Amino acid sequence: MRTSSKWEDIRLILHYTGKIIIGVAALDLIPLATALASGEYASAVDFLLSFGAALTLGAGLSAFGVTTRRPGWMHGMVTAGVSWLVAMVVAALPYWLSGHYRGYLDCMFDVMSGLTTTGIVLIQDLDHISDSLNMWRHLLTFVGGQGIIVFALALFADGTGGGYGFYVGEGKDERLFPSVLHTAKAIWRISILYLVIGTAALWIAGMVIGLSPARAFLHGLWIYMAAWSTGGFAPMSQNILYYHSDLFEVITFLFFTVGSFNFALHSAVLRGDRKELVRNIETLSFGTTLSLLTFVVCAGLIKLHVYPDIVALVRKGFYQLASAHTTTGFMTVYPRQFATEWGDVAVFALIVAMLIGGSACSTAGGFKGLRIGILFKAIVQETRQMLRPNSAVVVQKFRYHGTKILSAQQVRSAALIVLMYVVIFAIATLAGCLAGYPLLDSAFESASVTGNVGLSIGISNTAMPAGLKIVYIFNMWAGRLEFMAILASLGFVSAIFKKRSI
Amino acid sequence: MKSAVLFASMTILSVLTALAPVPAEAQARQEIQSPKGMPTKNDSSARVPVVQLVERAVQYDGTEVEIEGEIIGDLMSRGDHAWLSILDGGTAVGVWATAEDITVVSFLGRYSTRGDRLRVRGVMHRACPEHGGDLDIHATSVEVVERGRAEFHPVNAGRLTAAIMLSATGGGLLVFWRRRERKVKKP
Repeated sequence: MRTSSKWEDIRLILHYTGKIIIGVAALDLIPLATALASGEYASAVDFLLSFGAALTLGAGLSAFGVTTRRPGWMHGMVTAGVSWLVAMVVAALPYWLSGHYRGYLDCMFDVMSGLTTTGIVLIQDLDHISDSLNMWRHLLTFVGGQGIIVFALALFADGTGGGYGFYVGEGKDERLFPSVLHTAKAIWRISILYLVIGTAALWIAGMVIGLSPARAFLHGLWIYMAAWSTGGFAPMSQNILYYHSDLFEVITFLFFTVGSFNFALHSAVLRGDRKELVRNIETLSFGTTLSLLTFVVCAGLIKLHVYPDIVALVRKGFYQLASAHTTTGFMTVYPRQFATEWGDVAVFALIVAMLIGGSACSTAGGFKGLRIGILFKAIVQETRQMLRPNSAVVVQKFRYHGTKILSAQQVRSAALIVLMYVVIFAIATLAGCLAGYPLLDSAFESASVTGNVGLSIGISNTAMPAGLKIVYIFNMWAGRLEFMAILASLGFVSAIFKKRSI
Repeated sequence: MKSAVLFASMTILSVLTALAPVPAEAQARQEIQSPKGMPTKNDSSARVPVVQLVERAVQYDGTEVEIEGEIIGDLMSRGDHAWLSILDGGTAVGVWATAEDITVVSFLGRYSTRGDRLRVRGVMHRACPEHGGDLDIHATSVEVVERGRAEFHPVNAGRLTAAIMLSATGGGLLVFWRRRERKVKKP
């Protein structure tokens, strides 16, 4: 690897980026079919144009970079970082053609929000967009949840190679099977299984609450996609509040909670290992922090008499908290109600929940329950060590798909990632304050984009400064890929300037 | 080193945002938050923008209000009542109306239709006890101000031509890539 030329490295990275863009082109065919089925011919032309543009770019890059070399670890990492940015630019084209955006930056913001399963939107007049554009929005978030590289790995089963770097670069490091290819396919099998169950449940619920069968099906499919991927998009501007339904809220709660769990946990449970569900460090961590934060949110809301009874407290307080903690972003309140009614205590609890996030190797964002659990175990270990003689060796164990012994390397790795999240969270908070927003509002929005959540306190809209949009795009991207691919990409750019290969 | 460059870039970008003017919407929000002209309970209703209802929900809670806007989405029947959504100035609000009230509706605003413009009077709830804490309006009257219409979205011939040309080019490149790959990777 060290002896190869940088030109060969670039070709290899462009080749695999091209394959991922061809995957994006293939996705365009689904909203294209939706447009034709719905009689939205103008929209169908937009998607055909987007398909053609993505295919031309993707196939062009792939053809240009054809090589006999196999991708190495760093090629995978850099490709992951670069391809998410290129995919953002390419997938924004249908948004721009729709005429529902005030600029291409807003289109790219919404694509990054979708792919990273964040869920904050800058779209204009959402309530009048076509079915095909809604399909595109929710498809992006659904595929982004699994990972666009995982999607490409599953799509190009014979050609993407087996680079583990591609997989890890996308913020996933848990192999369900020894082969990355089989792992990618397993992730998709699990997602499709839940897609069928979730869409059916929400379709029936939609008809029960008064939607027509056709609208109930589309809304059910889209809401499921956004719930499972912890994306938080919805076809109407009022988000989940639009449905005014406790049934809808219960079903979405179930699917976004399940969606925030580790794919390895799903795989274990589907194989019959149900004990893992209650003993795994991530589910224990999630259960603990959710319980503690529920107490804080409820205390804050009760103190200010925000809701009239326990039902409203659960449907508003607990639902928004669970949505925040799983990094979904579904809302049954208006963004400005957080700022004007909820008070500092409840908003603070939501910020903490958004930063902690869901499970590793899932569709969720944030620090991840695994890292919080590891850091907690490290504190316990250190405390026990202090209470024992110097010569004593304290071994700390935890359950994570088998019993593991806590190592210094695991603690260091978890602490570094959490630290990097905190740093970019602080920078985006500062950016919000510099743009003229109050500190708590800025921290809330920053936690939401950094943790890929999607709850908003009202800052994110098309009128916010372009610089702030770019900071938020960066945080969504960095938060989703968990820094490694971004650092690798920066290292690659640096290597180009220093005229050495990676 | 790489991390330092990354975080330094982010900090510079943050500082650059400070040079941007405070968004008009933030200024408008500050104006909305000023307490003058607040309604009191049992005020006779005057037309209120929906965005203002949300922003000043605490003050409007329990008062009779009048809103005007386009009906969008769906009429969701629930027994002898139904939910409808009124869009006004980019913000939508749920209205709980009787089945009789909604018989006046002809067009629901969607992609292919502009919905009827309705004037709704009713009692605004910041956290409705009857509906799980939803911010909503319980309508006492619903009337049509302006009838909706079908919206046509004609196909853009220029885009169609570009779409066909790009798809053909992309297809050609795809074939070229696969052939080239087979040729290069042939043992």
